[in-house]
Amino acid sequence: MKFTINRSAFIKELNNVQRAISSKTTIPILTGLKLDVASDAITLTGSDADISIETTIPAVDDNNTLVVEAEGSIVLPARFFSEIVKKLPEDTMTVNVEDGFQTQITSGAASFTINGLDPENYPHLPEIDTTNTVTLAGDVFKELIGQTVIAVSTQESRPILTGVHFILKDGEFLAVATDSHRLSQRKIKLPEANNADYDVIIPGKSLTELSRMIGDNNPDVQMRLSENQVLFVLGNTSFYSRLLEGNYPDTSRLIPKESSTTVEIEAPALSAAIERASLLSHESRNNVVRFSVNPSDKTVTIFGNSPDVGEVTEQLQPAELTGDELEISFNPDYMKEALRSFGQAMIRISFTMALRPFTLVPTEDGENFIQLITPVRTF
Amino acid sequence: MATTDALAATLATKQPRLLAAFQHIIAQNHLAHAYLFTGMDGAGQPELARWIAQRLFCLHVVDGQPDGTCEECVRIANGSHPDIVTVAPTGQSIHVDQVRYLKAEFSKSAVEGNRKIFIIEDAEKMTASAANGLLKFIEEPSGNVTAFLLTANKQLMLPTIISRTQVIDFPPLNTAALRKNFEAAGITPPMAQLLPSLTNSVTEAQQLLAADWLPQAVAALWRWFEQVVNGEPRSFVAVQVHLVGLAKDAQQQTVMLDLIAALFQDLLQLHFQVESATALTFVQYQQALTTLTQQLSARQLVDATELALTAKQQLGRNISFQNVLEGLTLALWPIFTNA
Repeated sequence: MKFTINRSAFIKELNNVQRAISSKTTIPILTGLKLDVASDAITLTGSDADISIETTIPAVDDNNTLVVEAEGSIVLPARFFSEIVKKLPEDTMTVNVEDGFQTQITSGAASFTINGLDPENYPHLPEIDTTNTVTLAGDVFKELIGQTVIAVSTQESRPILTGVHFILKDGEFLAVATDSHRLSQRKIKLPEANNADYDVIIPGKSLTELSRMIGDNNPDVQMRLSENQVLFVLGNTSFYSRLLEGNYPDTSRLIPKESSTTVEIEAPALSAAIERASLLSHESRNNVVRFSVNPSDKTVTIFGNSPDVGEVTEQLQPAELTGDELEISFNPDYMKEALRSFGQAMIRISFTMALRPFTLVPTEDGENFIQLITPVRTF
Repeated sequence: MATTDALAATLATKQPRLLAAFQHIIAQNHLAHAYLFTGMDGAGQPELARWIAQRLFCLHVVDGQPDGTCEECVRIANGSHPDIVTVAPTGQSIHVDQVRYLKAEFSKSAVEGNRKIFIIEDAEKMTASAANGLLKFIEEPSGNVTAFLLTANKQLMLPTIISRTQVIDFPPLNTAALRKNFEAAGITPPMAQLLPSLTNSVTEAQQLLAADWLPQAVAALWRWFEQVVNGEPRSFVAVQVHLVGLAKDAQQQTVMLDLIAALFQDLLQLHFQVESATALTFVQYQQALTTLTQQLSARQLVDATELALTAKQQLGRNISFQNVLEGLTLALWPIFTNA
């Protein structure tokens, strides 16, 4: 195996792949980076078993100045290899596998020889057919991840809740996450994906990592599915993630259909008020703020206290307020994260009872995005 | 790198019956989702678990045997297959983060195919809370999962775990065959007689014999033992002077306690004349042991044996070796002096 390539083009792809490589892994070969050299392209693969990233550098792109002299594969220790590549002196570099797995990296006057590993021992990425493909715009998908991943559980006691549940049915794409205290659900209409059918649970961590890779240049994301892994294709890069196994709880029943009190308010204004109230509630043992709706003078009062420090009251004038009087308490951190996901929008909060979950939706397009928070019993 | 041929060959000599049984189970597709392999160290539990893994993953199975040369078999033998999750204790116990890793793996799909295998070595070294946390996954795994829990001490496993697994008892290797094995490896006959009650593996035996450790330990133990049964106060001193110096690491300490237990077992055997004399561990002291049993009652022997057996448990609870042995000595005196 031998090739020469432009160093900065190579480093760019190397950085992408390195996201997947973790230094603490149970399988030693996964600390390595796999290089597959074919006559027309080289492929870099990194994996920590949970996620795998594969990226291709084609020879046709002139910026890469890729010249392949001999085909082959090798696994190189990722940490050393990337540091070496980044510090080489010239614009181009040559990688040459000599006898066995000894690999020589040269650039200008510098020459490194490092020990590689047998590529046969590297895990195989699943082969995923292209029939069940869904295409989404990069920014939409990134937004969807940002909106749902906040509600993913971090508790190991119910591992299934550490993922986001993706369902694609009848041309509608649904993503739900819940940690059993709050829930976040996003729907996207995908009329062109009418015949595709999904029901998978993707680990929240994988999605966070994926959303970091969807850069600002907004490429389309293709999502494909195999039996045990999901694949996202972004241009030349493929992102594989393992799935969570098991049955996700039925979340559709959790969302209340009716409400007795509704409040419409600007998300940023409410968020700032909650933030202030949480300053004191964080000090108290049970971290709750009280939210009182007063229909007679159309105001909302937010109250937070800590027996040791003091208390805070703040009165807000919502844009719209209808229904019965209500007093409800909840964890302000859940509220803050939920509000942040709405951005600058106007939202509608719908309550049924003091001890029933309440929902937050944007006033425009309220069908497609919903946040649900369970209140805290304080008496 | 162990090839499957070697693996199958060791299994065929160690546990031919179990190997054939599992060959049949897999051929019939009747593999259960969780097994508890119990038996002495060296009785072939890890080998069988690995063999099953290769049998299930191998690309070219011939006559119910994995070929051992395809990439899947090689990766399993190297321990680099991502769908074979192996956990072994680091030090005294299986740590919380190892169990966390196991749980995470139990809930995720396989990396390559659609089948996963978990091998938990020395499973009795899981803490009770760790084992309880795993219960749910062992009970109803999602997906195509097979778990193998290996243990040398079934009594230390949680009953709730045992009830959720199919227990496979690995019979101790045939003592006579084992002794021949040891003698073939260049171990002297009296030691080859003694070793089967300590270990079933030849490499471990050779470690014990390195630098003549085992004969020295046996001699020192015997001196202590004679003093104890005569109720001599010197025996208490002997613990520190002779025994503690010999037991330098955790393994040697366990072996010492195993030897003490074996001594009392010999006494019991001679007293009740259960087996032929060749099965004794301490053949070289048979004369002395026989005269001793004639002076002792069954009650005394049973009491003493029970004490010797609990000593090992105490060591497992991080009581220092010297304390364990001194406590044992003090507890043994009244039993023998009241004779």
